[in-house]
Amino acid sequence: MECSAARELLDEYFEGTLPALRRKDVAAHLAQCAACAAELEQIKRLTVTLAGAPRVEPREELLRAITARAAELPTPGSRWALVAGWRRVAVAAAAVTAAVAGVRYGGPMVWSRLAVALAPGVTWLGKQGALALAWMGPKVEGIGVAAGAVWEVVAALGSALATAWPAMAWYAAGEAAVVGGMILAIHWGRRAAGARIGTLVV
Amino acid sequence: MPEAGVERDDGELVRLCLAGEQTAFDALAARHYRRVYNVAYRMLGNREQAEDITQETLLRVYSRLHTFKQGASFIAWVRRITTNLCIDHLRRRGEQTVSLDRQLEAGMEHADTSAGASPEGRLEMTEDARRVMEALRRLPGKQRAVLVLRHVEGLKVDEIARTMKMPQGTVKTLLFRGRHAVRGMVGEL
Ligand SMILES: [Zn+2]
Repeated sequence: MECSAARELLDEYFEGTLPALRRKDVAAHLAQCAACAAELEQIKRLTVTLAGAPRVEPREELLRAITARAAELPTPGSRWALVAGWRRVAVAAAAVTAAVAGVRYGGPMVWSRLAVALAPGVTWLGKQGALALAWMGPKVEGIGVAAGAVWEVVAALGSALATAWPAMAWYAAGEAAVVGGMILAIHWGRRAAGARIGTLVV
Repeated sequence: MPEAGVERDDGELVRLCLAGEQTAFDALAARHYRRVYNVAYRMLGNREQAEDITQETLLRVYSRLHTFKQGASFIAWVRRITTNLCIDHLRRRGEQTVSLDRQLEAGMEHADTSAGASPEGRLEMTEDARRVMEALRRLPGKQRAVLVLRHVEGLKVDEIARTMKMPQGTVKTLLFRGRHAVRGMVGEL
């Protein structure tokens, strides 16, 4: 065995993690090479010497500072609850759309009345979403206001279209776009607002 | 508050924490911050920076807790985060060697802690250990990191390779060079 090969294996030799055969090779080399034996001795001494190095004690305030800062962050578990919450909202929106579609096929007049009845609710939801986003931080406020405005416009457009021309597809597409947009806005908002979103309860 | 978690193992505390129990994280932090601090201190040779890294490490642990694989070693996971943050820090610091003032100051800190309150800290540090620790502080970041992990933390070569995400061959080369540099500074032990 060459010195370079033996040196490669000295740490593992010292740890006792070498396979038996390699171990025997290294031992044979060490028996006849003073330089590699000295290298092994250095490893041993460094380990023994530093094992005696005392642990340093951090200031007590450090732990308090860490737990206090962690308490301000969202608990890692609740983030997933938040995402799940918004998934539920998306599913609910899809269900409403499907129900409305069913009514549409049941009779154009019913559909039109329903769309008109739903429009203020949709607008209200849009405003709440914008408010929630604005509350999360100034960075997010723009996204929130924009999403709320889009929501309102699409809702108004949807009700107008539904009254004048009861085409279910327009309303459904508009609603899907807005719900998707809100979910995206929430996602960006969470990133931009970082820690503060954690206290937002959906 | 930290006493609540004393009987529970790390995996159990992680589960509780993910379920929203804040005191579970407090217990985890109380259990591990000294270890994190010591690794950071050995790598950075500076108390203030070690405190910053300790805080950053544990907050990162907290916010990424859901990515921790149950059944894996929590200590190894935390150590990996600590080591990576230290290496980033050293890189940002520009791998500069520690000034003589800093070394003297660090020497004083050792004098402080050996008389300090902790039972471990009260152990007398041998003259050799003190000289080697000072030599370690003067090594380039990665050499210092592998030597600290190997000889202070007692990690095996393959564990260091996984911690630092580098091939085992690179770890061995860094160990070899680092040890030679230490020998050059303090002579034969
Ligand atoms: Zn040899």
